[in-house]
Amino acid sequence: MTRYVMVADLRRCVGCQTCTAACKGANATPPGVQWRQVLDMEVGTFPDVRRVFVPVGCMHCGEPPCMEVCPTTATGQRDDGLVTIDYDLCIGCGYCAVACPYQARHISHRAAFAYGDQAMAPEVARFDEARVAVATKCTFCVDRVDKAKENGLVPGVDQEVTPVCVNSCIAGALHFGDRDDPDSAVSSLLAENATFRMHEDLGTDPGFHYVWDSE
Amino acid sequence: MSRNAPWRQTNWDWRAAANFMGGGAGAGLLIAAAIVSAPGDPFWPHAALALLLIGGGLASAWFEIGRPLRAMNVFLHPRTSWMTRESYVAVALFAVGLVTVLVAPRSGAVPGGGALIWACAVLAAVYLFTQTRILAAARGIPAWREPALQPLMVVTGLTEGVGLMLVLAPVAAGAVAGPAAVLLCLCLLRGLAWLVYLRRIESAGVPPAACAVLRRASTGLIVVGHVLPILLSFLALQPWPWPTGLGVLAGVVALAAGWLLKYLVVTRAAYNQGFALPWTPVRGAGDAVAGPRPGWPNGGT
Repeated sequence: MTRYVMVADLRRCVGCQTCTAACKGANATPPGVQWRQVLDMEVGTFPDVRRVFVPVGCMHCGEPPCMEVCPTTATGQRDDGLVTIDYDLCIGCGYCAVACPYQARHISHRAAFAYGDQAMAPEVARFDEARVAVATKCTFCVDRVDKAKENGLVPGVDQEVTPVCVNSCIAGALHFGDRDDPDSAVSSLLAENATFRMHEDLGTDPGFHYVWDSE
Repeated sequence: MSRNAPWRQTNWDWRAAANFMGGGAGAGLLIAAAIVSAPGDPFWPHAALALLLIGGGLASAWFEIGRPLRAMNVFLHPRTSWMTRESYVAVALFAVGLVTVLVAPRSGAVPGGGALIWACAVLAAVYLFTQTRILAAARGIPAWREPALQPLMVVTGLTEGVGLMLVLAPVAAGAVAGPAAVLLCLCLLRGLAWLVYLRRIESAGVPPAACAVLRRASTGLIVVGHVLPILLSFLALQPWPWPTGLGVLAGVVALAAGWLLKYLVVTRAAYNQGFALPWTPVRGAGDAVAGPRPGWPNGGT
């Protein structure tokens, strides 16, 4: 079996938001909609204060609450663990958005562009009517991942078939790959480091791991 | 700048709340009318108003969805989605409800009419249950997934239904004493369920901002929304003048309190989960410390 997951090494992330920008560029999300973002958190009180940068987005949960509640079957889950949305089935009811404990789902009820109603040429070229008034979220760049088989490439190893946020990371903090493959980089990272997953107690089995210390 | 602390969700607004208000009150009215009605009492005014409320609630939710012309897709996922199940029950309820209004406008009017009325009540109970499960399944909103909300929603729906029976008493020529006594008990129960819910969310990981919203409203809700209708119901049961007027007033107040309660829970207290880390990353010579939980006192640390 294959289970694609993301691993973020919090020790390395510097909060530069390059992954955020890369995601925006690759997926042409409208203003206010950010499938990948990096939280900037402060911990402690003066003088012992630390900053922590935390990449977040759809966790591609093993037990996705969004899929359970979806009344239309628009939200689905593939055998490789990727949680998908069929934009043609979705009615934009927002139930998945209130069911997601990671605030990863977005609904833009009307077409929106960077400078108001007037779209720039690149926005016109990449505008997708199917994504208006329906739920959208990070896809783990499924279009890129799906090119792996036909080209004999490995997601997480070969850039052409790896999510753009991972490719763009300047600090080597983001990693992607098959958790069920013991030889993959993500498997090694998980085996050799102390990790956690966010809101794990909610039983969602998230596919996004955070490295916080060495074993 | 990213938002770290829980914030109020904006996907479901007053239109979604209206579905819970209309659906709960309508379902409660059908149940109350079936139980409290005596043979020969008119059933159709209650059933007609109940269907109107439930339909109005569903229409309100329909106005909220992004792609209303695809609304029929809502029927596609009965295996796990409570929203789909709610739609199935609504269809059955409308079918049986309309037949009942046409065939058995009065309790005991036709042979088998009683069965139709009871079928309405059972479907209404299932409808009320599906609505409570819709909120419980929304795992991203801690104030909704708290299990104590489910009995509160059920008893609120029933209270609204009995309140509406009292409001309809002058029109439907129904008795006041029975519904007033039931309303008194239900208001007591709802007040208790509300207090239990408030206490539970304080200790169940619900964002403090959400708890604060409900806490601020609690005193008014208890005094005006519960104590007052209990007093009015009690007075309506005494051999004093204007029992109908007092009953109507008690019903209106109980209904308004129920709707306010739902509005508060579904919209104002609907803070999402937010983000939290169990640990901070260990960089350089630093040690690990408990991670941040923005939105909680001292960042959760």
